[in-house]
Amino acid sequence: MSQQRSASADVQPAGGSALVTEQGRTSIADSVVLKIAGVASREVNGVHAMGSGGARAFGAIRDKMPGSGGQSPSQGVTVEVGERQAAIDIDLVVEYGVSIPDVSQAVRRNVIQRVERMTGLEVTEVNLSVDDVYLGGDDEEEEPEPARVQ
Amino acid sequence: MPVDPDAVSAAALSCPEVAGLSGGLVGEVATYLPGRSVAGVRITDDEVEIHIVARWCANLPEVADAVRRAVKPVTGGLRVSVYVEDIEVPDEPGQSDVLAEQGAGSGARP
Repeated sequence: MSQQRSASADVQPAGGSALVTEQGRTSIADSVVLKIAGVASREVNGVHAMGSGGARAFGAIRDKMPGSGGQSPSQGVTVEVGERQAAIDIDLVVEYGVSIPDVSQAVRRNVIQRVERMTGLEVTEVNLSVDDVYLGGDDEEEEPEPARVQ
Repeated sequence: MPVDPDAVSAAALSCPEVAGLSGGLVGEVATYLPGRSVAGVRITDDEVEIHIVARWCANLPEVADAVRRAVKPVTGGLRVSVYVEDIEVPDEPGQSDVLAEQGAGSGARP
């Protein structure tokens, strides 16, 4: 399990001492790590969308509803957060033509860096699952139908 | 009551990196008072819990330290536990770069 960590050799582990102090404990909720990891994954070029098939289908329906506020930043991310450490699993869709190993390394590095710098938690592992390749043009940018009456 | 929950709430909210206090899923995290409650602050015999929603900023442990410093005068020496329950995500993904580059402590939104 620990070999995933090797990608982040250049990231200084923030350690947990910043979170557990004599004056009291700082506890980071799961949703905080979810959102940071989601935003950090999307920042990387080559990542088209987040989430496994079911989550994306449900997300697409939810996006169409008024007042939904757009895609949830934590879609496709699950985390386990302890007092000092966090483990992160990410489902994503990459664009066609990218090198999946390079993109996953970049995602892993960015997620570890962002989560460790922002929360002070040590990230023990980031597991990526590439669920699909986006070929372009087959959904989303649909042409609106021309009006039938002028 | 030795610790005033309203003072704790006001002191925590005075930190620029704190977007708000979080009462939990159904508002169960609160100090219950006659006729009202103070959301996000729970006071026990030996500890004060503060549940916050943070702004998107560089470093959450530093935010927690800032909250701890801000509430210190009104908590009477009790241990202060800070729970970061949620974080506000910037609208544009690119914006997070700008905010993350800023030094901690200046992470407030423009």
